[in-house]
Amino acid sequence: MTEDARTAEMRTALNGTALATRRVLLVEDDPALCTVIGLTLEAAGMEVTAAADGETALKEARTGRFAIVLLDLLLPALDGLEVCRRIRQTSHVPIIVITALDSTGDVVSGLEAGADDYMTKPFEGPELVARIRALLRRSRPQSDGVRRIGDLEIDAAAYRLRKAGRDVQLSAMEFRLLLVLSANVGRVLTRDVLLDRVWDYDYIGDSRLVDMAVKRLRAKIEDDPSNPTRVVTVRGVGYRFEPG
Amino acid sequence: MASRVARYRSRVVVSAVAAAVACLVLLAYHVISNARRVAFVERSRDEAALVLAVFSGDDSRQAVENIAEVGKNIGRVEIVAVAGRQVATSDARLDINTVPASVRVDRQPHELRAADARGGLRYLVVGGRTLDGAADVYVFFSKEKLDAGIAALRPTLALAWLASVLLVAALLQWNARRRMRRLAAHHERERRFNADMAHELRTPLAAMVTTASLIDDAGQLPPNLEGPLRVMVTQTRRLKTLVDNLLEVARLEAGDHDLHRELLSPAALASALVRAGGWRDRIDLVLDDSVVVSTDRRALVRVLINLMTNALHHGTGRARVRISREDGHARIDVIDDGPGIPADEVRGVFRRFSPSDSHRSPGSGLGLAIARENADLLGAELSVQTIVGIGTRFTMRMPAVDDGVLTTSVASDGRHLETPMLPDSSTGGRTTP
Repeated sequence: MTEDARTAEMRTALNGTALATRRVLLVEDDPALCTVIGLTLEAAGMEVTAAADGETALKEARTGRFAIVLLDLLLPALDGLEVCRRIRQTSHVPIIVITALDSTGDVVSGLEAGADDYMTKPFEGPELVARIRALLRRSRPQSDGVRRIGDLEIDAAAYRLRKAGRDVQLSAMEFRLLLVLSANVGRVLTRDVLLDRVWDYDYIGDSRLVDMAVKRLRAKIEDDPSNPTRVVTVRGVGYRFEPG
Repeated sequence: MASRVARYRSRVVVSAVAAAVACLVLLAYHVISNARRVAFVERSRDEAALVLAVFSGDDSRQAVENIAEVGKNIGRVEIVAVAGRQVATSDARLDINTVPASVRVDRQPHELRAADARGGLRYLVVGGRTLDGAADVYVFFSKEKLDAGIAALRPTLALAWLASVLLVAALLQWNARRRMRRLAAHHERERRFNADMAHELRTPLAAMVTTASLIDDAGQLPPNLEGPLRVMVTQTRRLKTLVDNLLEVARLEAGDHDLHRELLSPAALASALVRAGGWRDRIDLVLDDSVVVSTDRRALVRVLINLMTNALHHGTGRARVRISREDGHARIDVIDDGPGIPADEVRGVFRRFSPSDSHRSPGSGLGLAIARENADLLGAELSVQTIVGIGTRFTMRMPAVDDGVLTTSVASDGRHLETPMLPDSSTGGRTTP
């Protein structure tokens, strides 16, 4: 994917100005579930493309025309986690994994593979629509200025992050997390606040979403991710973005 | 499941120990009761065995020969005395007169016990009348010889004892291990079955629940189908609750806890749950916003949701949630004005599928059990007070964190945050510039 295509996709994911805002890639091998989710999302004004297996899903995802991916973790042949990882290698698109197993291990490995949120079967239609809308919700920078913190250069308008002059690839949600954290340098943000501001969860969300996204963000912006100096943990409370 | 394995293991250990002790007691009894007999048999084949002949007849010479003949079969024979008279002996130590006069000899067919004045065993004399003879032939041991025999036997007995204990222990251990392995394999199969079942069950259920939402949103339904479809929608939701609860119970059983403590405001959590449940006009909230706890969000949500659902089911449709501070603790009350719980059912109210829960409501009968088990995980007390005809109050208490932690050092409510990137309340890509 070219740099322009990446930026365009990132804009799509964050900005919601393109038509593709409503285009959902649904990766689900169960035909009945696929049909009713399709109907539900279409009723909510979205456009759904279905893929019944991992290979098809990757092929579709590579076109870069989707605003969001709904991904079942248990797929025939190519495993859902692997699909998630491979999409993440080339794309910023928000990914919601759908899992039938809500054991800790499954959820965490989904988030580690780069998913931004998860839903456990069975879920209600309106719940799914609300989650998709929350992740697609349009974010608009108040200023188009470039924010510089230490060796990080955050260009909110271009959805671009440079670290020591080099481009760093973030997923849409990681970028959103970075924007919220860096707008509050030196202040502790609780997981609730981050869940609310980044994921649009009203207090009840799963704080592991925050922890795993912070982990992924650190891997990309910290000099030594195991000894973070930018996004530091305030034990039992939340996270703080350190100046410079 | 894990607790069942633990219970089973302790049962195996207890019965193993009991069996080992019983074996030891039997063994010791056997050893002691055999000691003398063993000593005699051993010693009578010994060169040192003595034959004491006591004659009562006239034909002394013949008797002596007979004795010598008999003696050949049982060891070395020395004639110590004939008809009360001492005779020549090859060993000067063996003098009949060394048997004290006070020794009383009881005559038995094959065993004579010689006891000393205090009744303690002093001599053991075994024998009887010889064939074709007028003589009684006895084999005679002193107490010292008996003791020496038993002392020689002791290390052997101790080794045998140790060996049998080890053998019993090894056998029990082997048996227990075999059973544990079978149990562990069974547990693993059960866990995998649960996981597979969860998946197989949840996917069609997800399709049904999503369909139910579509039917809800369909607006006008064909009149002949409206009734059946409503039943299907309601029952699908009921099934969803049941499956969710069963899987939650399975998760609790499996020990998949993974608690993450964080600072939380129970008041904020309760009002978010009420908003999410659409219960704003059914649940009154009386909240102290300043109460902060350090706890696991998911588990606390499980407790609150189940208590609230229970209160709405069992009450008149309205309930109250009160959050307050009480001597260093956060106190959460969930109160309904329902019929109350009869006294004989209160104790079992937190049990899974407890009769009081299942017959009072169309719920799954698991809600209060799930609330209790999650409260236990958090180390919180969960209690119930009920007055028949007035209502029921569930109270949860857990240590509160010193207030001010969240409100002063942390931007917890988001009111004072810099949030330049954040959206207006647009949805689904409809933009509001």
